Amino acid sequence: MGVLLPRNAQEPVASGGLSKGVSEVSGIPSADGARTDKQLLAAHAAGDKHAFTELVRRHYDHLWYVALRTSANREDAADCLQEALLAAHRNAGNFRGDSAVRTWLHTIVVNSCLDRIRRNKVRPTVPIVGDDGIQIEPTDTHNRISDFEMSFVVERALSELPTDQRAALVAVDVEGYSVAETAKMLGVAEGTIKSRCARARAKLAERLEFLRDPGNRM
Amino acid sequence: MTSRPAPQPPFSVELLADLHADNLAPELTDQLWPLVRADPEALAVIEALDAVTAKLGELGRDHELAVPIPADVAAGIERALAAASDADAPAAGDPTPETQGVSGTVATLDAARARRARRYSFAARAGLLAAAALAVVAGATGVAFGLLGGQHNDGSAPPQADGSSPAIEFSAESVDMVMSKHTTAQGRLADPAAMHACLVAVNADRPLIGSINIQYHGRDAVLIVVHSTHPRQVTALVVSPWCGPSYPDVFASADF
Repeated sequence: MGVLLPRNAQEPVASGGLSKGVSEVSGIPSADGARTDKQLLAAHAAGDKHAFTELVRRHYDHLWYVALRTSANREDAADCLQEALLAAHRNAGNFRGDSAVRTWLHTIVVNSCLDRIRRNKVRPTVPIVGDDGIQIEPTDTHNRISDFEMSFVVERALSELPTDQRAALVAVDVEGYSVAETAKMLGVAEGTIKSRCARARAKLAERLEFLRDPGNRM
Repeated sequence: MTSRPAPQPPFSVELLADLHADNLAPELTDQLWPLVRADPEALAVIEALDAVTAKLGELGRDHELAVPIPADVAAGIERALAAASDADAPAAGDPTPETQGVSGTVATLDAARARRARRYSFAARAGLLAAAALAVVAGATGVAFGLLGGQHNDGSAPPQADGSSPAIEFSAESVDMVMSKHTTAQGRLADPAAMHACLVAVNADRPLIGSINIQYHGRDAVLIVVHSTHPRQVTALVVSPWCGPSYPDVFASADF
């Protein structure tokens, strides 16, 4: 199975943090002349050799974060991110324009990483969190300290899960794929996905202290 | 068949997590939900699991979260993208009526390749017929060609193309020159790895005799001569300078 191309992509809730001065919504270049994401993608499809690299540089950090979150280890994250961007490079003509380009790239990266997990099922994995964990940084200038801190805690807890549980939970709860879709992407039975999600949620609930006094239960 | 009695409170977190994930038998699920809803502690666990799902969903919808990409990862990606762009160069640089100077028109790489394939499939057929009529000229002809590019393996430098010499066309003479002097085309296909990838792509992965840059119907091309599948014969192929997995078109071919 190659890298899947996006299904119906979700629109991001937070629309800030785009390249400086560029309007993704209107598609109109800013006063400094910078092209929008969609314009760069169209330019690439029309043969501009540098447009795609310029485009992905705008989204590197977010896509790297997504790859880390959805991969067994750093090396796999780097490989699947590269594979995903090459797939996007080849298939730019298939972008329908009904979502933000970042959303489209985001989905390709997720699919690439989940597919890699499916293909590498027998490989031993190590938790992706190191001594420093995944250091997340906010990219916009709004005051999102409390949301950011919570996201950091959730991400760290997610990164501590075993790879198979994390992959299932990321696909279902983070990225919104159905159990059936996730089972197909990861090459396991639907019951296995449900079981992994159940175990993972229970661990996160305890880790995030959503669950009070879990030790009193059997 | 007697059904098993449903578990009773207090319910384990594992059982509740399986119930929450719809990972229990339907009969057990139907028995448990009313019991869970009537148990405040069990309901609190379910709500905690709901909170996890909700929080993860928020994470998924936030496309602003980021981790600085390591320089080596970014560099590796950009090298791969540059190589991919080079492989697609014919599509990028190939002007067509649809893409030349038309604002707002997006010509996809696949569409450009399809147009090229249609053009060159006709040219390839014409070239094949022409090549089949050629007679092999044995031995070196001693004729000086205006080479577009080609290195002699005997170490001598080829005459430089200065525009006044005729460009090399696909002909028996050019095939003979490749065979007698074992020339190597300049440019991308001078790299043995790229040449091998090209030969694999065009289903001609056989011992290479030589190659040379030529003009084919007014376009830059490369003439490659390899051993034929038939004994004591060679196969001449005319391909793009970008021949490879992404561009496996053969403009013309003939066995000699």
